[in-house]
Amino acid sequence: MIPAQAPQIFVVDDDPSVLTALKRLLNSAGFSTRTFLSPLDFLSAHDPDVPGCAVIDVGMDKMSGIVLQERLMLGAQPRPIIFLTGCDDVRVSVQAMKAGALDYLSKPVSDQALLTAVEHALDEDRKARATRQEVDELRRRHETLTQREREVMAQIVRGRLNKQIAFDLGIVEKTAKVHRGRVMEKMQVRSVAALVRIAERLEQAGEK
Amino acid sequence: MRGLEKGRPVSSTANALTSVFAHLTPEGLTFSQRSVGSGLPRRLVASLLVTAVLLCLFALGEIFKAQGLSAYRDAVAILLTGSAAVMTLSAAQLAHLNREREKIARESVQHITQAARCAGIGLWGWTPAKDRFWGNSTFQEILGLQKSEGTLEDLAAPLDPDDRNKFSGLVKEAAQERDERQCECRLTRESGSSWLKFNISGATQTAEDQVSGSVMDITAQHETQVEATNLRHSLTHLTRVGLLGQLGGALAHELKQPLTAILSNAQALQRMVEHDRLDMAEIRAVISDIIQDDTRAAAVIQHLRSLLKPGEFHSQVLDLNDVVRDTLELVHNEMITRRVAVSRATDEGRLPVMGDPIQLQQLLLNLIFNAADAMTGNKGGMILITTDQIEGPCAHLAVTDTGQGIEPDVMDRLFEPFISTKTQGVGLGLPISRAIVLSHKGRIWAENNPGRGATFHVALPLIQEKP
Repeated sequence: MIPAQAPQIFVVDDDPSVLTALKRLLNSAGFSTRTFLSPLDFLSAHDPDVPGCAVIDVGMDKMSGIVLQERLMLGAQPRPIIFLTGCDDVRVSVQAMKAGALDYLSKPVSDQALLTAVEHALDEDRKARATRQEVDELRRRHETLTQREREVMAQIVRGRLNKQIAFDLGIVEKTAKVHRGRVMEKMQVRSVAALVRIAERLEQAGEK
Repeated sequence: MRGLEKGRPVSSTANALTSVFAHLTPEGLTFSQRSVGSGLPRRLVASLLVTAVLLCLFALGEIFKAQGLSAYRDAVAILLTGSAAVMTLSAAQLAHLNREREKIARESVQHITQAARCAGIGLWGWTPAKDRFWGNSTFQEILGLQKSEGTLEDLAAPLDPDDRNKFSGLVKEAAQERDERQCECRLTRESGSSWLKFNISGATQTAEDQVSGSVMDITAQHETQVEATNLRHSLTHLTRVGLLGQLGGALAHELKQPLTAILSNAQALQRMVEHDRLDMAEIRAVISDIIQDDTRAAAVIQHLRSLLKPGEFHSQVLDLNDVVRDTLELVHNEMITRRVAVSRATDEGRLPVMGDPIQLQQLLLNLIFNAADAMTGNKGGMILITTDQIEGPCAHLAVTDTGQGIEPDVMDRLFEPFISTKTQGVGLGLPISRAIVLSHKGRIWAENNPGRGATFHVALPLIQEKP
């Protein structure tokens, strides 16, 4: 298990005075903040394991906020993004929201709007991380199963009885029963319903 | 503009008349008469007479040898009578010839004077040795002079005080240099002020050092010209305002940056005070930043104001590289939104030119927007802006794009008004750009790139900077 870290706010804006002011505001509200003048610096220093969210200016010189978002979303652990924009271009905001931006705030942004958005984003990040951790745990358990046990588990979640499983796999019913017991034990569940839920979650995570 | 074009032939007529009239002033006219009498016909008659006399003497000698003294006497008598008759006839013939020529000369003077009057051209002359001028009736009308003769000072007297010395100076210069001069002078009367154009010629001088000239009232032409200049200024201004419209979002961004910093700083400060976390050093830093950002916002507004203001042409020494840098700051965000990458490769040294910073920014904005518009079809693109020195010596600016390039049939008319290939274009961007470049004594041209896209070039004369 990764130890729980304090969440960080990553602020990216190529305007130094805006960057400093935003950092001050976030610090004054008690958030731990890291600032980056260039999107490239941010990308190279980025550690997806650190919980938190990013506050990114859309209109930056070397790389627009949208491109930065695309890069961030490529990873296994997408980070919630709040966009700040100086121009009210509908096209860009639609594009950003479609790509998964959590919020899109117009400059100059009030402390209330920014802090609410940041809190919301941290919340989302916390939830997403918890979910990811759970799925990781389930996946870890699933990986402890043998090939035969995985086959049996696939049959169980489809509601098949030991007799049917034994017939399908060409084994005796008793052996099928032993496999079922091992699966329930390794996956740490007591009911078939719980196993079905786990299988669904693993399937969803696999699709992502 | 039409007035201007009309003006050209009239003034060239005036020039031609000025030279013709060098011979047709009162002194010139007597000289012409003399030249009629002493010209080619008289010499021809003289040589014919000499030949005749020689022939007669030869004939007399032959008669004397052959027939003796009495026949010789008769022959001499006949000859003398004959010669007298011939001479009388010749004299009469010559007098008639002279009269014909005088008539032709007088008629052509009348024709030219009449033509000049119809064209509204006043004719005048000045004899430096005697400091005496004369002028025809149109001349008197134009200048409002009562008399047709006087000194140069009298002639210049009706002109506005500032222009009197300028005019007399040029007349004297023309006389000395045996050259031509032109000047435009103002003349103020109760009915209003008018502009006069003088052609002064010392090139066709006679024995008496005559300076001759013409004068025209070009007030209407001048007004048209002023009106055209004003219209061009308004148009330049209007298209600039139009450009700013296109830049609207980007300019708002320029303002919003400092405003964002100010608001966030102020609200951070507010929280520090509310929570009693008073770090004086931090508070001082925040306040200083707020002041700095406020100044920055004011500078953006000032910049905007200067672009929006319908200003006159203010020439000053500028570094072309600075113009490029300032303009790129302005379009920065707009180009990001349009997914156009703008890069710059400017000359390392300074490129000092004389120019109006606002108009040159407008020129560059025009070219950049033109380039960006040429690339709308292919989802973004690249614009490269370069500056360097070329022959002249000139500062050279090139705006290269990766767009569709220029159609061959449009190429020739590229800088003419109302030629636009854009669906929403008015077609004034490039003509205005051209007008701006011309008013900076520069050149503008365009060409298609070997690959794709086009390049617009501007060359402006470099100036020598004092170290």
